Amino acid sequence: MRSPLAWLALTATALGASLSVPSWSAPVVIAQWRASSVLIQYVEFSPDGDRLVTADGGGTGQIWKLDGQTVAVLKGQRSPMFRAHFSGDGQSVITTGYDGTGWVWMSTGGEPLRRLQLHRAATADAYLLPPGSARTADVVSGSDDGTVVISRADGQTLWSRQFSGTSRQLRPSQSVDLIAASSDNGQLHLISPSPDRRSATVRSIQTPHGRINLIRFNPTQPEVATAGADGTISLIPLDGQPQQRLVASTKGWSRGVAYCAGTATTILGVGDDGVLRQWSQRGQLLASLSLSPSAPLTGVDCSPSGRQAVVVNGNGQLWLLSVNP
Amino acid sequence: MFRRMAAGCMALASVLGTAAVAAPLQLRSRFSAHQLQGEAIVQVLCSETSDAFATTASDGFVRIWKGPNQQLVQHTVEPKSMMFNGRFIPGGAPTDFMAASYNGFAYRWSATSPEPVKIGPHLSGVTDVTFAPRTGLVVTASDDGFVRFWSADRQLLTRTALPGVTRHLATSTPLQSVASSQDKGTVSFHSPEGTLLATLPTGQGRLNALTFSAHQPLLLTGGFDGSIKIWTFSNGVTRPRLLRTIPPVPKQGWLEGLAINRDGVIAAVSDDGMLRLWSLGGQLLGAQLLSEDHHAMSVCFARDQRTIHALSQDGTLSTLTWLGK
Repeated sequence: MRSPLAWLALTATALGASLSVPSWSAPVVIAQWRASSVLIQYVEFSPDGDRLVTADGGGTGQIWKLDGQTVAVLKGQRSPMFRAHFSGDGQSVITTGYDGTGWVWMSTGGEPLRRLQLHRAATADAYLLPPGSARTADVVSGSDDGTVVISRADGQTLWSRQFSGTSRQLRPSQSVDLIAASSDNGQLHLISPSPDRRSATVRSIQTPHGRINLIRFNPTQPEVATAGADGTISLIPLDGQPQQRLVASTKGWSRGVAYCAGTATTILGVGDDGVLRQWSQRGQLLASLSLSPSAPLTGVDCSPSGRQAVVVNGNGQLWLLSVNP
Repeated sequence: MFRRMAAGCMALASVLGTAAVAAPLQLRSRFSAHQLQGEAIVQVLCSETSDAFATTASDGFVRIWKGPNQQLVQHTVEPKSMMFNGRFIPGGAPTDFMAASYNGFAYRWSATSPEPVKIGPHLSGVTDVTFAPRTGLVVTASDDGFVRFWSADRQLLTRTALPGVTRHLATSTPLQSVASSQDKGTVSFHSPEGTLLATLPTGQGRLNALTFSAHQPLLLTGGFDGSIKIWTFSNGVTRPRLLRTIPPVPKQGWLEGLAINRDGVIAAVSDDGMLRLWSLGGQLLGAQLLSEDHHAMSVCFARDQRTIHALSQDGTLSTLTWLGK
């Protein structure tokens, strides 16, 4: 099924007109299943695109094959579980919890490998930083205590910065030379650690969102996307060019954003109105798909190939979609 | 169930070597004030001027009760948003109440206006709301890290940025101060006009409970490390001094809620589902198991200073009487 904009583009092309709107097919649901009995806070593809990890409000993480089969259940951390991220090699997963911990798990069988007491307040987000294995990698974490901390595997703090409000979201760039972090006062902090990660420069940008619910790096150009409590997504060029804002939800919050880098790069966004939207990099709305009229969509990610997307909602439902055909 | 809980209480008393533990506390009633699942957020607040008490919960409801099982008023907002905390309005009708909401607003209900009045917006969830002594200004705390002071006509007068989340507020008329707790384990003291006066590092990690004595210059703090710290003041709030630390009972978990009555009896509830009463000298005066399966989250003394209302994480409200001297 094509979006109205796609039909418009095709018709215009047939008539010999020149429009900047590309031909586009709306995302198509190829599988869906109930991944949790409660709110799913987050979903992410593995680096090879073959698996998914979810984190739910009941304190359970799960690793899935794309056909809905469970690979591993990650259970034991104090609920709610806020985030779950694969390591760069896909071999392990780090999850964050209400008790200030980060737990590192084997991504194949789900065995816990490390329990890190990262903060003395809730750990909102955390990533394993390459190089190193699941047992030796550095960790960057953000917390309700307002700090962003880079620590070694043995727990020693390498670098720390105190911010006002919850340090809720983190996202390292692909090369890990830049870490984006958010505070609930709407600030986006761009952290450039030194090679030994014992020091860092920080540039803070005030976004229009208030609370930021997700951060993504554009894989194809120097740009960061943020989804926020004002219902919009901001596209923030890192070279100082003007920002764009996309209306990601007609009510409530924008809760997720993802770049899909296929043959062309597009942007997916979800929010409280239950609609998955897709935009071009120029900010043109290409498609929208109502997935969850009665519950907010709480997370979205795009596969490394850019051809599949995953969306989750507040009732524990998960959708796998084909995008960018 | 009651018999099992009493047995649990006696067993605990035996373990602690406090044979008199169970005698001074009488469990009078239990009922479901909210039906909650998982890591719910609940608070119980006692009125200082009547025997009414209020419960707020992450189900989006504020309920005001006059004695067990007698529901007076139910407040909510559309769309239903989690309620984090609240206060009875000084000088108002028995059901006049103000609550802090996850959606970035505080709501004020009064007998004279059928619709709630909104105070905000904030940049993220509002975690607590109270009224400053002498000036009567509305004070709000937020995930965005700000403590804000508002006029009666909802104009923002001052805001102070503090590190991390600001989670709980408490007021002291004797000390003429508003205290706010930060998840990094600090307490900040503000003047009734909103000026930041002093900051106290407690060393307890995230603070789940913060309460002044209404009758003495005392402040109680408790949270992540399970301890209760009693702070005294000799010269306003600028020079707090640690009077005593009551260490956590083994396997107690987080300290979740604290209250203190006119006689200096401290009520504490914790992750192990227990209510414990302590003297200011650190002696265990009584204990009661409230729930075997759920954290005990919040507690308050009613106006008579002997009736105790305690709320468990599943929304069960227990009412007890303190029979000791």
